[in-house]
Amino acid sequence: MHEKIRELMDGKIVAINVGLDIFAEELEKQGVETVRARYTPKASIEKELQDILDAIG
Amino acid sequence: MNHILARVLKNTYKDSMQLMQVTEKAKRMKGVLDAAAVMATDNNKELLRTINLLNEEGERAKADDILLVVLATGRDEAESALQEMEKLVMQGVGAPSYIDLREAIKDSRINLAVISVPGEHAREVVVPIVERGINVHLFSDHVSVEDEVYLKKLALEKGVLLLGPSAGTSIIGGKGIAFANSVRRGRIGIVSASGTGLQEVSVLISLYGEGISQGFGVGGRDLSDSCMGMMTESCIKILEEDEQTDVICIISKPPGEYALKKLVEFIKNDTKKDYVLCLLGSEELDFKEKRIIQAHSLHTAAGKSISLLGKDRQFGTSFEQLLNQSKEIKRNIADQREFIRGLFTGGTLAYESMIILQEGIGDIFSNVSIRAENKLKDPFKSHKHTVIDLGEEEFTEGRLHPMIDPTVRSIRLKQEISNKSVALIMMDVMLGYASNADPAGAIISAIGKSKDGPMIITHICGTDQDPQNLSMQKDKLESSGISIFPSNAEMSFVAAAAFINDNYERVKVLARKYLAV
Repeated sequence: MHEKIRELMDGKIVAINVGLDIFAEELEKQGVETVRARYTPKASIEKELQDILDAIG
Repeated sequence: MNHILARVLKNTYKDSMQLMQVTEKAKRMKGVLDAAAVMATDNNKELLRTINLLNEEGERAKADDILLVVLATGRDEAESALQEMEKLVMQGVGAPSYIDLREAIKDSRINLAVISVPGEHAREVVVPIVERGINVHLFSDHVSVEDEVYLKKLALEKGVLLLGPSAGTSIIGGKGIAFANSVRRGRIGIVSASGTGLQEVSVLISLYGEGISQGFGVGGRDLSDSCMGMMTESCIKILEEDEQTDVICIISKPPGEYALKKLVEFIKNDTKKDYVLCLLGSEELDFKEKRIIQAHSLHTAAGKSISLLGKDRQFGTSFEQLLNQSKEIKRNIADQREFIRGLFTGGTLAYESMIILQEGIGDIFSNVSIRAENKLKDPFKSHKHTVIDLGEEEFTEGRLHPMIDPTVRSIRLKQEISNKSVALIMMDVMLGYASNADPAGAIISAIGKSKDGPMIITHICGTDQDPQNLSMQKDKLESSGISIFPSNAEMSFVAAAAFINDNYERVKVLARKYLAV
């Protein structure tokens, strides 16, 4: 079993939350250290460029 | 004189949670009678129209705009509330500090990511996280099957968990993730393709004195023929290895044909522990092994899991008592009232209720109907006996799930109460982390002072350790004359039995299958 799964099952959770804040709040209420991360979707032109680069390489 | 004012913030986006917080704050502002801050989707505009909060300005707002509406005791009060709301929207309510995702995952201590971005972005967000060996609980809906299969294969390759997409609930290491209840710890492990299914079974186990070792939510499609139970099998292996787990309970709606065959073979041949298989709506499965038991309801899944622990104790309400409750309902229903309406916030509870009612009394119409011919043409209008899953897309587009924001159900409840053909309304009251702070209060306020309406029965899924507190929610409903059932299956059975006319044998069969009494 992956060490990080064992850690979770032992309740030693360090979490990152991306999206609805309520899930971070509820984890914090249970004493779970939670980092709130921001995710900004790639602009579509940037994504298209990335797809082309991926295809090339 | 009461005054409605609206303001449209063009091409502005905030998530539904932030907007609900603004709405809640606005409702408490001076002179404000009602208020709403929503993305101006058609769905949200329709809801505002129903509660008379949509004026001409609001009608003009587009889906990409935020619509702020205030009904206040006067123009000045409305104007000042609107200004305050706009400020809150732009600044954010108690906005916490965020760090960039790419930076955040560099912290080697992080072992779990809880993700609820819109489904179309899920793959982009999840891939770098899984590649760093971090487990994921993916709450997001609308992730394509292709993305789900890709992400699950990647997770298996990296040896981590990919719980979801559409994973409403997990309980890991005693911590509730997303919508979960505060339940006892114990020796029953759960692998569930259903969030509210996991909630219901873990709560029932806890209420009857046993507990959960781990509860893994694998997402509603994991046992489809596309995903072939990839994560279910992976979680079963983990629980087989786990010294704290003796009994493993699997919960799902009917799996795909091939996925089911594979799952059954795997459990028969590659596992050693005791199993309860609760595949709601599935055919009878044939197990020669005594350690593998099938359950037809969430209620019996909990009861059978406890009995496999070797604990021989009374589980659930007696048949006689349930029968008396159904007779009581029958007596109280006025002659001209004919139909049942189930208004559910929990999808699997709606499904379970529909299965029991259908077997008892025949056709049940629904937005998530089991039979194609019984699908409601318009989910906003009930037809004969109807069960509604209010967590489905048509009700949640551009707004929060009804377990968080009960507005959608409150509106529907008012409509059903005023319908003279409705005899009985049944509802779930979901407690736990992330759920609304006072779902019982929302029901009571929607019912108002109406008397001589339909009978109302509820099931509360929760514990006294939940933030809302089971006893307090119970007291509220009971003091308003609303009956409460300890499980969704018991509530659904009593409702069905009240409508089965003079067929005692059918009532008995139903009780045996879904309640094991």
